[in-house]
Amino acid sequence: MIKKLLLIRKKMMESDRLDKAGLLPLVVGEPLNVKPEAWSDEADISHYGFVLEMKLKDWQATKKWADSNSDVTLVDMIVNKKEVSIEQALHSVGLHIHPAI
Amino acid sequence: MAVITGDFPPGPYQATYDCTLNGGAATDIGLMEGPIRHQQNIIGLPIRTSLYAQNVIDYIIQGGGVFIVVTVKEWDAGAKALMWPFNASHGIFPLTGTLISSFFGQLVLTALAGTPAATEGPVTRTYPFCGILPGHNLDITFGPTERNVTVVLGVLPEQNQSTVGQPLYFTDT
Repeated sequence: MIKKLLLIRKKMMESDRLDKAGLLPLVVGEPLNVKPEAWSDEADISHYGFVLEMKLKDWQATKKWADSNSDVTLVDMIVNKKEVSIEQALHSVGLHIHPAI
Repeated sequence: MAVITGDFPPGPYQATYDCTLNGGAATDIGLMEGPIRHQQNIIGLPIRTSLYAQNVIDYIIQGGGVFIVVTVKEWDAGAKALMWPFNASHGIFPLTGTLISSFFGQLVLTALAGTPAATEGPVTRTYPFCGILPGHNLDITFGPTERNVTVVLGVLPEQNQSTVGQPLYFTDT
């Protein structure tokens, strides 16, 4: 199974964005409220995060969609064949789950 | 009447660096002079033919390079580790033959919350492995003036987990 963390910048998020992209069936768990580690807890969120689990066919379509949208980022959740936690994946790009939401 | 608008992304960025010297902890490099400058290029081998003489008809991609230029204004552990990740004492050089990657660390640039940069992005830009570029001279002033030190960083790529053989130099969010 291919596992990625999808991050969408808050400004570009619409309620049906994932549905339109055909990604809704791939989402596992609840959406994440995410902000940079460097921001204070009083700051707003910067991104919404979604954990995606998918087979190869879905991954190819997801990658194509992500590569054509500059406001989304796919972060690896399997690194060197080992699964990393959501916190580790977020930390690798300078973000964390908003502690005040 | 309406003001002319556009997706302009200005805004200060702060930077943290987490090399081995500072224990792998993301350490703020402090106040900076001017903007942080990111530079990148692509390296290609030109293809020429007898039919088209010196006209370059294509390039074979051979790689590329990513560099960062930043001027630090403070003289604290974070700034000094960015200048010289090899030892807390700048006079001590690494052992000849060692790999520079063992000293390099992750640099994270974060846009200031509430600015157009934070809205338009990138909110964060993360370079997984970077450090002082070999050959760059640190120019440090000692005198009754600001001690602004320009550091040129070279970025080493990591393996793109999705595509073997494809280098990944940084990630934007």
